[in-house]
Amino acid sequence: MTPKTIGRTLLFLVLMAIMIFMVFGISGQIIKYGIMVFAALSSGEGFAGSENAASIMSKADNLIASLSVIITALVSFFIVKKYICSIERVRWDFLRRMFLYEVLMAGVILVLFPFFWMLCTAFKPSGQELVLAEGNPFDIIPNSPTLDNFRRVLKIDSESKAMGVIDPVENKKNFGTYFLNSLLVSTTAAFLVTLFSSMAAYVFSKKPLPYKKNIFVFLLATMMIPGMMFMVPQFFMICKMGMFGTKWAMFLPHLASVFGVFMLKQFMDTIPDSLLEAAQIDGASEWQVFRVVIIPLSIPIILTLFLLTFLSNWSNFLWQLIVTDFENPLSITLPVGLALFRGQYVSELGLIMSASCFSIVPVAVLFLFAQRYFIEGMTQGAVKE
Amino acid sequence: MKEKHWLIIALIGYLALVYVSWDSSVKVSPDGRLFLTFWHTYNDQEEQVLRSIIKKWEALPENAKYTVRPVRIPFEGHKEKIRTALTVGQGPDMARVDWSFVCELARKNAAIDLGLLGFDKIADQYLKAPLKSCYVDGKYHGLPDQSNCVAFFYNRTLFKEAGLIDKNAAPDPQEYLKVLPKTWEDLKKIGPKLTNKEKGQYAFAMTNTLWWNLPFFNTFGARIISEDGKKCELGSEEAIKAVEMMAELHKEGIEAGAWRAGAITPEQGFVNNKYAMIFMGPWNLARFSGLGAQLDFGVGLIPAGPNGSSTNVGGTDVVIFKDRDEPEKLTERIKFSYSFLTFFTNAQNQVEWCQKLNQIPINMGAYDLVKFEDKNLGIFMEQMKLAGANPVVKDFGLMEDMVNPEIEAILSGQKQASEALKIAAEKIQTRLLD
Amino acid sequence: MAIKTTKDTSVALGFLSPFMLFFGVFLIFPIFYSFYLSFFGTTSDYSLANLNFVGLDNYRTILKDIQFWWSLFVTFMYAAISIPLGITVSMALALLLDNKLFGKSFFRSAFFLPNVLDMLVVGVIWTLIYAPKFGIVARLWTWATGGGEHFFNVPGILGDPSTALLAVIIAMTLKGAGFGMVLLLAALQNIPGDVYEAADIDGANEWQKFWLITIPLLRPILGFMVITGLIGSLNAFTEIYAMTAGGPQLVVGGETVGSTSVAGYYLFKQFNAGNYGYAAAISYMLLIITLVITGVQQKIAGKKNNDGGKRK
Repeated sequence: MTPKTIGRTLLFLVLMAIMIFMVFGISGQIIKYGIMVFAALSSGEGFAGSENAASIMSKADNLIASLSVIITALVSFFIVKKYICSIERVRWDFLRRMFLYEVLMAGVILVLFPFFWMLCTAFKPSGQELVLAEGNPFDIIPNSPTLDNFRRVLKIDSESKAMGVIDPVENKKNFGTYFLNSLLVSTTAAFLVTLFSSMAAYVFSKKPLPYKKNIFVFLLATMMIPGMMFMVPQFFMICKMGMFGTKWAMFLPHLASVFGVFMLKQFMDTIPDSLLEAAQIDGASEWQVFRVVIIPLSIPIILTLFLLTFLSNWSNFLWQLIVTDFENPLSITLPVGLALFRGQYVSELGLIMSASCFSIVPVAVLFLFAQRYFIEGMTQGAVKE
Repeated sequence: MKEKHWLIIALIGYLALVYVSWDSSVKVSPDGRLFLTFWHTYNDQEEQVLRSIIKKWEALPENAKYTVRPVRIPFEGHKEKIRTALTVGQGPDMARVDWSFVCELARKNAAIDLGLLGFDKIADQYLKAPLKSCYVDGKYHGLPDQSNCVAFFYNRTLFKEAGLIDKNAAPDPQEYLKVLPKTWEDLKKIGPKLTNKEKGQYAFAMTNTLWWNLPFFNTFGARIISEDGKKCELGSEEAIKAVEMMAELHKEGIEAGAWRAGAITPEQGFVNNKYAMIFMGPWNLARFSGLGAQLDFGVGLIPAGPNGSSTNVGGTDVVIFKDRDEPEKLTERIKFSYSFLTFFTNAQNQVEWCQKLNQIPINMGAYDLVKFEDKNLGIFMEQMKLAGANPVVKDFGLMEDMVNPEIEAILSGQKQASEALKIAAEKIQTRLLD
Repeated sequence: MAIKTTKDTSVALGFLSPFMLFFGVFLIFPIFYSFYLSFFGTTSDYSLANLNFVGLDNYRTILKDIQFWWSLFVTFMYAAISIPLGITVSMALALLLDNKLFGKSFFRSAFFLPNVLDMLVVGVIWTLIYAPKFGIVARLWTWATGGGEHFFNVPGILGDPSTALLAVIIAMTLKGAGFGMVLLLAALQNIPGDVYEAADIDGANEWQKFWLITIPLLRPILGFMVITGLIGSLNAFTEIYAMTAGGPQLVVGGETVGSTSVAGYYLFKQFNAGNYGYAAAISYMLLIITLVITGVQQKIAGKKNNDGGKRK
């Protein structure tokens, strides 16, 4: 036993303690969340429902504790075994990696905490979302969960059901209609913006054009003017073109995204010119160079732009509000529709959060699909010359 | 190959989406009647009552030519929506707007002067304070349709813990009303008993925005804007005294400092049994009651100042817009819109409305006819009668931005009340009134 | 590059045309129209037909408005802290996750995910995290020090003028860092491996390789992050609205000013009140000031290293 080995072992123990603490905490919260969702799903509406869910939750306390102990034990066993089996030489490296993982985990907890908080608050009964946990400040999972917020957003709670049929047009004003409207608007906008932006960015990055630099600087300067200044004139134009209350109005003015051009242009600047020249020598046409060389290389950034544009159209409240024709349900998009649900005085956090959960769904689905390309694809599509 | 499949599936899905949600004309054609469009911001329950009242109005023989089409717009952003719609001439016949918006609509020549339609004769039916918010430059440009105010909520659990109420005695609401502070001086007296800084408990908590501060000003008899709407009186003796009193509450440690940026808000502190007394409106009654054992609360009148107990006015007004086609004329559309709105807010319909929705009536005639199960609503009705009129100014939001920072500077001890309020008054005078 | 020919130009124009069409139709007119509006006062009605010309009055009012100049100062502070902080965090994440690491796509996704969250939601949650006495930060501090009166209880992180802006910036950096990370990760893949090999042969250490190879090759992306950071600071509004509403106030030379009242917030208030002319004047004032600053900065930077534009 040299002092060096002792120091190393001590360090390992400290890191191990932190690791156990983190694994225990995270697994406990995730299991508890799962049980909470189960309890909420299996209980009914209203106060009685959340009481029922609370009793299910309290029964599951032991289950949560024992499951997280088992998981923690398994993980620690695995790590200790790996450490002991590793050869002397790589042990420092092993510790370094362990430390890196812990730092990354802490970072993930920090950045995803708002996400988790949103997912928890959506399940809290009305009024409870303001109640602060006295003990552990990280314990934010509701003890008497309910699906009431989701029911109210979807208008399937008993109060809305009792409302009865008003007239066919009014009945079309529901979450489903708003959702589909927004889906159509956002996908169309995102697709066209990415297409137009990547074409323009290709020119600004790789093509000769007189006054190219000046035009680009002018474009950048226009970005400095806050978008809300354009709202009134753009609204004026939309109305003059007779597009008020149509889906065109929702996205047409935002198709020219200087931000998108700028982002893609800067990225394309990092693509070596030699690749384009090689393709041109092979006799590729302009469009082929763009499609076969530029697009695949920029796919992570293009997808990022797609996602961001989708998101900004998906949540663009103010603009869509003013071009909405409220007499036509097919003109109402999701952000505007959600605002319609919201009352005047009561800003119920639980309701807002469950609505946010719904509006994040398509973005999350998109993200999961795109992830293969834009997170993992970055290593495979690499240009190692 | 696999990617191609995905692309084809995505394309088919997209086309299906286009098919499902492409615009088709779904506006129902009327049964020969002409439509009067009414943009409102009511919720589902309110809209249902509104529709039943519209049915009744339609049934009256003199209204055979017209019907009202209620169109809901979100309250959030309703000012922008109406402004932009009016810019391109696509406004409705009438709209329900926040009380603070009426002045702008009147000054911009968009809302009809109801005096031309004979409103002055029936104006005294309505509660005074809410009606004043429609009174712009000597004319009524709208009428109130729904009103509320804040009253004094108290936390019974904290009163018991402080020993102000016998813990073992049977719960009698009258006992609480006896110990509840009647004046601001009373509040200062019992404040220390209800305050425990170690636990983060305070006797009182307030937010600092002008609207929430109006009860202070009103109990001291201070006006923000003079009766004729020409002069800012924020620098008056009474106003200074009101703000000095607010600052004392905080300085003596009775008030929690809930007005600070990022602090626990009065509402949240109250629910968590941290703040014993707060200002709160009737909109939270149902929500607070739903908390069950977590929160035991009651409602009382706001403590009195030199001018007695008083409060602010919130809520909405309805306005009628100029006719799109003949802006200079009092057309038939306008006359029938006016007929509907007065019908909608008459005593009889107010009783129906308030009884079904648990709201405070705005028509004096309905005041004695409504009976609520919730006793607290009765307190609100009493408090509402004592309300002072809100300041009428072309942009209430901008006025808040001029006043709130100065009051915060006073509360945090960075400025003297007299000096800060005079600065704010000058700013309001030059930017908003002159 | 290929020799300039008219054919090349027309191809370029062809690629550019869809973008330019929409830019020309939906942005050029509003840009000039809002500039035109900045010379008019509030209207007597909503029609925008009866504008009353006030000349340079709006601009004169702005020049005299202490609140505006203060908000400009706060915006400058916001940019000066948030841009370097954002780049550093993004860069650190990108470099850490550029390694061969088990589960790295999980980490990449996790760090990017907060970008899709609504700004308002993030603001509300961070306000609760920072809350005095009951927020996580205050409670951790109480737990660590054993209680008593401390800064995190009264006035609280967001309640103190010296820390409020920083607190907002930290929350926003954690929300946005994943975006910068994705950009940098993608750009790191475009750095040819042989460059590093050549540096290895020259005996450069990791630190030198980072500063002399990685950073210059990432320059376009860093430039993008700086400029979008600047735009983000000029447009910052929702985060301020959700977290501090411009406060806490402090008194500077007799004038009460909001310690987080950024220019975007100030502008929004005017816009929200329907003062389109004045709001337009503010945005053009901001544009002019930003252009002057960046112009001066470009001149200075341009003299320092002329090799900066070599890759372009």
